[in-house]
Amino acid sequence: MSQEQRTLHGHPFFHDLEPRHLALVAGCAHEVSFSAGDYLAREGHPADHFFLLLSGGVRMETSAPPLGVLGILSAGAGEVLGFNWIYPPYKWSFDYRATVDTRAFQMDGRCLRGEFAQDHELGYQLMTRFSAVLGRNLDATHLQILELIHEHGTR
Amino acid sequence: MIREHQHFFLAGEELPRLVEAVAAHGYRIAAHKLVDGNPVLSRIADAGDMPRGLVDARGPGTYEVRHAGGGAWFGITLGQDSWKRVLLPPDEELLAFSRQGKGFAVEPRSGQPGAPWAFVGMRPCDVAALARLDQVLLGGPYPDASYARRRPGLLVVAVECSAPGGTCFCAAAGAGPGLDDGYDLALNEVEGEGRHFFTVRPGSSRGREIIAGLDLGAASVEQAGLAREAVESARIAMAAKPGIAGLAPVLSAAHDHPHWQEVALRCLACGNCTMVCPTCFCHDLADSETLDGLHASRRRRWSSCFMEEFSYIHGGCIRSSVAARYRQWCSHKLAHWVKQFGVLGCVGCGRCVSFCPVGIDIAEEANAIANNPNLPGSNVGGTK
Amino acid sequence: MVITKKRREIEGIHTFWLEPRDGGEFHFDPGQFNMLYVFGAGEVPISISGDPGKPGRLVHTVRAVGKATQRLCALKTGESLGVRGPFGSAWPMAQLEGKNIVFVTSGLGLAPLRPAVYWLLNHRQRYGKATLIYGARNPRRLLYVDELRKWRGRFDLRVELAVGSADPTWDGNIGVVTSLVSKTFVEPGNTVALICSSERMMRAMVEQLNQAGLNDGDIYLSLERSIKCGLGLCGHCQLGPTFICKDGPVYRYDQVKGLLAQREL
Repeated sequence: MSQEQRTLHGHPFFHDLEPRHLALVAGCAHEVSFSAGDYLAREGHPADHFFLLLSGGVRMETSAPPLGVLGILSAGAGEVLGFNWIYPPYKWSFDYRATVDTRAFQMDGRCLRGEFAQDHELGYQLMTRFSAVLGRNLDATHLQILELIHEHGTR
Repeated sequence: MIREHQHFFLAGEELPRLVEAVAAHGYRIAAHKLVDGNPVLSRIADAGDMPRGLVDARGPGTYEVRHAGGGAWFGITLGQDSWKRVLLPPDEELLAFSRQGKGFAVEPRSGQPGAPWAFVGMRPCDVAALARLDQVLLGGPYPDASYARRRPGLLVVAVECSAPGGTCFCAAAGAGPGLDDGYDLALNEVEGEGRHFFTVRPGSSRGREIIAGLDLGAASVEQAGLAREAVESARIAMAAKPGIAGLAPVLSAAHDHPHWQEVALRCLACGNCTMVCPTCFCHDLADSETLDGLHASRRRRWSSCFMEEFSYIHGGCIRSSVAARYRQWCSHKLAHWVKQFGVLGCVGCGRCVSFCPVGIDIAEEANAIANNPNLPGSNVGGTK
Repeated sequence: MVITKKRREIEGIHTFWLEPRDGGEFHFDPGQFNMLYVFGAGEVPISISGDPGKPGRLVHTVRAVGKATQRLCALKTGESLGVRGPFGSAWPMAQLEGKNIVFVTSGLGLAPLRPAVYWLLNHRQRYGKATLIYGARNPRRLLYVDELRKWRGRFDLRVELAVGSADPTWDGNIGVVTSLVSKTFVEPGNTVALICSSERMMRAMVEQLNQAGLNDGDIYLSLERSIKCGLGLCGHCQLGPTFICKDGPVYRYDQVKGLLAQREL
């Protein structure tokens, strides 16, 4: 197992992935680092990758006049960021910005989609993981909406 | 020497003497009095105010007073009032507040305890209901002050039942038709076939004192036997009624039972059942102030779990569907009450059945669930 | 009692310091509530949110939502409030000695928990690790911010905050408080959770705590229903067989789990 594969295997998202699949995804991964304040992705830009955070912290944010720039989700080591590479039009829906110095694997979406076409089992393994992350995010979002409704005191 | 449970004989026409004796011991007398043709619990001057020769005909959603002929004093089993109307009035001022500088003073009201009450003609179900209210309102660490002022002096002149009404199920509730305790005087009225008399037995020292002043003879074995047989026949008359004891486990596990929805299709959520129920104790505390802002008042008013606002907390009401409200009431009476106080919250008086505009029968509804506990759940809620 | 101090916490939420007109002390257990009376407007159940170790001053944090609480929040220093209490069950602090404690709460839910935090800090050596996980809609909606800052500076209390959204000056977590549970929480072994939030949010918190390894019997929560008398006499606060005002508001989760799973109970 290469150093890269070991690091990937250490990330919770790929934790129990089979070695042959790990080798395939490693071929689509390269490590990147960002300084505090750097953007990992910009709203509207092509989304042909996602990030597995290894250290540091990233904030999903957007400009929402007149509220200004608003952070709406934060993520740290062990988390996965970015879903827009999965579905057309393959564009980022939000900005992602490093709040501190951050290291991550950038996973090439086109490369992965190519591997999925060859190996549906790999596609299944990854999509199952992405579905779980998306589902949890969606649950959390619905709870937040509920809190807002509570605060407003009306149904 | 007068012994407890000894049966005395009182001729039918001599009831006024008993009532006079009670009054002479300093009690205010409350009994049924006809108001617009209906028996209403009222303060009476003497037995002359009591209706005679009448019976109540009761069915689901119906109540009617009829002439029976004869001179029975207690032919009417129940009216719509229960005695909680006197001990826990539907609307009473509890506290008065008045401004004093930047603060205010508080003055407890309902503080003038008049003469103690004697309840004449209480039925065994209502005697049982009194014990339930005592438990709820006096049994905890914080007794209800207003109830506690009225309750202790109360003299219970009860009448055992010989002819249950059509909606009575006290036997199923273990609350009648006879009396074991909770009374100062227990009467049995035997009337018909040329006879009219009472057997009277004291259940307390106060009861014995009153009897002592009347100089009554002992009832004969035959007279006591006739009185006992009448109570037994009442028990038999109710034997076909569905049981309500022991339903706590099944009702507690039946939150989602589709039958609650079915009842909600009929239930009007009017709250009549809770108003006439002798054990329903729920109430609101309503605060108000005078326009000049100098005086304020807190009143207690009966309230009902059938009202949507009963369960209001900021943001909304907990039990917004009628199904949930009926479930609350029925489950409280027959299940939760048992966990809270160790007894059923229902005494089987049947008032809720008679005075329900659509004749919903708590025992039948509970048994509809108990007889079919495993129907697939349909969530309570959603349908108003 | 007399209002001796009043502070606006955030929009619509005020904290009141009360003292008896004739002096004296007000003792209570963390988690208990009082019935607060506003002249003519009515009585409302409000959790006590002050330090149980300082019985000279009674502290309540109140949100203006109804007639009585709006009138209450309009009262000024020097004016009077009627106080009946303390009522209800408490966070079982004595029973939890030797345990790690994690507080999980959001919004105004911190108010009923704060006395338990004070208690823990007042008797710090009796408890293991302590963590406060607290969420709000945005940084301006966090209660007791000065105190949170002080607590964050302590080495013996871990404070983790989450807000739903924030401008770039906020350097903490952004997200819902429940997701912080899985991120923060590490040692289930000897840990007990005390939680207070809206009922639905508490079910989500319990789910997260369960996933983190806590059993239902290791979780305590504070419940809310309509409370009119506080004495168990008026019937409004019943949740199945329990009276929230005297059996609650604090329950061990496994005792009420079945009840909270039911709709409109």
